[in-house]
Amino acid sequence: MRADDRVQRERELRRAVLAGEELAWRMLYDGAFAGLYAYVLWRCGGLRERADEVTQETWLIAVRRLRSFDPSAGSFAAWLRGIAVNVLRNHFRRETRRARRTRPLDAEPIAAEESREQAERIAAALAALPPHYEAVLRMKYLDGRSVADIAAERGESPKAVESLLTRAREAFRQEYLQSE
Amino acid sequence: MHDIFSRDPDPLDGMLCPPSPTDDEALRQMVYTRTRRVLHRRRRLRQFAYAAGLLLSFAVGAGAMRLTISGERGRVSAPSSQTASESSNKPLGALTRPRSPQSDDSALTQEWIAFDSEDHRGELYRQAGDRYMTEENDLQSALRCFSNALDNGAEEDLAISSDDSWLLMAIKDARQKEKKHAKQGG
Repeated sequence: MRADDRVQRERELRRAVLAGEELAWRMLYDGAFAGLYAYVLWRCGGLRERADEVTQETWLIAVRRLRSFDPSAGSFAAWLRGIAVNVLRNHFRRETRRARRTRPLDAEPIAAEESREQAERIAAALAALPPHYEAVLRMKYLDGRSVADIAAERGESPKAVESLLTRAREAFRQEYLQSE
Repeated sequence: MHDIFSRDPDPLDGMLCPPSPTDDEALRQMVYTRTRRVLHRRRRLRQFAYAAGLLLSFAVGAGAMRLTISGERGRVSAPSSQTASESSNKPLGALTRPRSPQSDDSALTQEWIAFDSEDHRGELYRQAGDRYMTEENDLQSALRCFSNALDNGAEEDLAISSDDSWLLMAIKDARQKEKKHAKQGG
């Protein structure tokens, strides 16, 4: 879909939803749900419970604040991702505070606990990355796009994107190791 | 295209790769239901605001009409309560005497005939009001004539009839309410 068509379509759907058209909301929702959920799950390091919570909260914020969505400023999916990032940040802060205050009495089995811990650390490392590093890692790993494709979208050379990916991965590694 | 990450095995790749997909249908439905509730609530609020707006504009309109009617009555009904001979040498406010009542057959002539008459004054004013409405589309003058018609008519003339124009019905309705309020008030 061309960018103009996308803007036009999303503008119409937004207008219809704000006028109370449920079908328009269904279209926006169905079109973006899977992508958002995959993104949130990735950002949560695969922790499904947290991903479910964050996804739910993101959608509820989105439906309440749809008026502030401007299709010409970016796609609906990107707008949702922006909301999800904020929700994740808040979740992460809450989790950190809670972890400092309490320790679970009914400890999980060791394997499950380790796996959860690793997921937490991945989520924490991703949350700590600067947005441009997070974005390039998302395009590469979550969206499965090639370096050439990413370079075309960003208007940069493949070499520049490779370099950016290297730095992003290194930053991720550092954040991951620091959370140990 | 050379892509260093496609051939560079690293444990980080495993961490950064998306988790295996799951069936998210239950979550999808549950979240959709919740968002739909928000939409419904917003729609109900909008409908309520619309109804409140309508009610407000109706109240403002009714108030304005009431003010207009009482203003018109104050201006025009004063001379009509006097006899023609008494009022003939007094100013008539909005009205000016036409060329000659007998010379033409307009709504204004009819109004002057009503003004000058001793009998059936209310009925004549009413006819003049109807003519202002139908022939000249002059609502301001029709309003004046209908107000005079009711001022000069009997109490039962306030009853709304199917022959009445919408304007006369509205004036009658306002008068009835006025009367009712006056009774309740005192």
